[in-house]
Amino acid sequence: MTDIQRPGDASDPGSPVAVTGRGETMSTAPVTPTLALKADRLEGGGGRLAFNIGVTIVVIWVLVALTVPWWTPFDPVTDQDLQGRLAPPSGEHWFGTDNLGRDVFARVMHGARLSLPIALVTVAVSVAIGCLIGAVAGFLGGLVDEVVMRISDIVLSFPAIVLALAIAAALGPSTTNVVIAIAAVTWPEYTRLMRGQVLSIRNNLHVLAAQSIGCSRARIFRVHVLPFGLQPILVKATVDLGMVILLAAGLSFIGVGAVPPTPEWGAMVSEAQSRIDSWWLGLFPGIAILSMVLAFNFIGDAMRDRFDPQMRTQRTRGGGATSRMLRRTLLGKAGERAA
Amino acid sequence: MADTLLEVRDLSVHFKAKAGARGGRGVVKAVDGLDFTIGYGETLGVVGESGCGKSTTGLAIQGLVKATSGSIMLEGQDLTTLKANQVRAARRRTQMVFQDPTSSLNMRMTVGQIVAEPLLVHDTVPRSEHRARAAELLGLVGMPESALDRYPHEFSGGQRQRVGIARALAVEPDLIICDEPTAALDVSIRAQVLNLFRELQRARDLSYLFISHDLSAVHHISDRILVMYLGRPMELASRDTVYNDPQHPYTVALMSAVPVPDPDIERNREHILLQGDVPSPLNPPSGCVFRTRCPLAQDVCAAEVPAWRDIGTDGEEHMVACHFAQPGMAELVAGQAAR
Repeated sequence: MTDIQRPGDASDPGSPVAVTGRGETMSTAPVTPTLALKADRLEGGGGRLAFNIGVTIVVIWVLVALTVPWWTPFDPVTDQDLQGRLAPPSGEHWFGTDNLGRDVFARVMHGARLSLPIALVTVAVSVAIGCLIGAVAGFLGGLVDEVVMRISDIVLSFPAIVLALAIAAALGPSTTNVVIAIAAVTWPEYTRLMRGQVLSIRNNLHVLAAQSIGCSRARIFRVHVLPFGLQPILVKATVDLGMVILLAAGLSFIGVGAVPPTPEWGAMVSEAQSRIDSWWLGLFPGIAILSMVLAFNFIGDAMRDRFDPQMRTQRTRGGGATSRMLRRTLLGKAGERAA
Repeated sequence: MADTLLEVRDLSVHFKAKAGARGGRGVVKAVDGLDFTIGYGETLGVVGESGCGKSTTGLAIQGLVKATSGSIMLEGQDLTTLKANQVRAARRRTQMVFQDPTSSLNMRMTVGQIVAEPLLVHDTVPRSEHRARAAELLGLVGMPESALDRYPHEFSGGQRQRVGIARALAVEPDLIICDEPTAALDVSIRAQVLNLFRELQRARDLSYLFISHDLSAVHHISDRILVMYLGRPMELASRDTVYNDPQHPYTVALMSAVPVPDPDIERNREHILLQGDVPSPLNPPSGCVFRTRCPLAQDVCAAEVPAWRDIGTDGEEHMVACHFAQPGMAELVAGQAAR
């Protein structure tokens, strides 16, 4: 019991009242102190916990991507051992070997060197194009707006994966084309978001004030409108990093993405398909994809909670959907009650 | 008048109304046939109910909404006929102070950047001197130099309004259009800001167009007062005439709404309550726009638009738009309203 004493209830460890990290007092009468503390830890920073987990995972992957050639004993492509092919995980090959006897661990680790840059570049391209077009459309309005938004509607009306598949297939399988294909289907979402932002910002009084000072339209756009629209874009971009990794893996899985010897997660899962009894072939790249997507979702969730004033009141309840789910899983009913 | 800074003649600002709930399409005459002048170092107060076109008048002078007809002459230069690039330059001569200092300042800029922005835009002072100039301006409005590198959210409403005033002063305009500059401020701060306006006027020979529905604020600061109703001018005279000897029934009703700071008088005096609401500007009454609520209305008021005429004596201007304008209007209206 001693380890749960905190300044708030040090005098009475059995106190039915818990003090949250934010200094709010709330009744947790039916919950035992230990549970109250657990709930409280997640409670005070429900979003924060998810955020920290997400950041930790991403940081680990980034470090792996940067350093992997120097510490994996096997090369992911050239170190083939046909005698020892399809070996299950062992001390030598932690994640087993594939049908050419290549080390799956090395391949999964090297996969980060591919997935992370693809995600970053794709999202960067998509954000840059989408935001610029959307902001200009919202700012100028009229015919420009109409034309741009109809084009983006057309792109949005296709399911993203199908359109990306078509584009990637037309361009031929390569990593660059994956970037092009995904950016080509994701930009309109940023265009819509940014246009909406600009439309509402444009009516802010400070924009009228800037106009009355004598600012040029270009300056108003650059200084008084654009910076105010970027926050939700940042949140969406973070979540999209995970989505793009999934999409890129999906394209490779189907066979229009990275070409075979490349250690790409989606391609690896695809190869594993035909050898379902060698479970390690698909499981480890799958976990890699899952961890990356989940991590970016955690970060994006936490950021949205922080930036979105309408979500802010809910932040004490642990904010985003992902972190809520996490808390419920970890704490079960008691956690929910405490919340 | 040789000492006229601004001369507004027959100014009209009409807006096309979008199809409303009832499918009605039409023209909103936000401002219709407005005439007035402002001399050097003079304050013209503009009063009237919400939606009577006070703010639109200010925006039209600043070139932020386009005048439908009429002229706005600033030292003999007609602002309504300027080309787009000249409009921006003309904005240097007139500046605006807005109602809500919180939303009229760009919260992402430091106070120093905000105050120096007009200098940057109009390029009147070399860049190296901007900071010193901004500090000087802040001093002028009673703000410490240390405010330069801080952000608007760190200050109170009254201080933010001072920043707004400093910004308006930056390019040394001749006319400052104050659009309800004290409406968003606490009563205790209001007097300070009003006094600041007066001090600045004395020191720099500024002219103000002071738009407000706060009649006591207008009384405090104005030399002359223009009373507006439904986009049209009702009465224009010196402050004391408007307050003590109003000759338009609307002015009488408006003035009777000003509380008198003497309980004995306040208890016994007659309050004139106007019947009904302000008519829709989409469909204003024929003849005199005030006739639907005027206790003195006759047949002639529906048939003929009352002329905007000068009834002043001793060479003092006293403009009024009423068929029955006469001295002692206050008693007349009170008598009619009592019946």
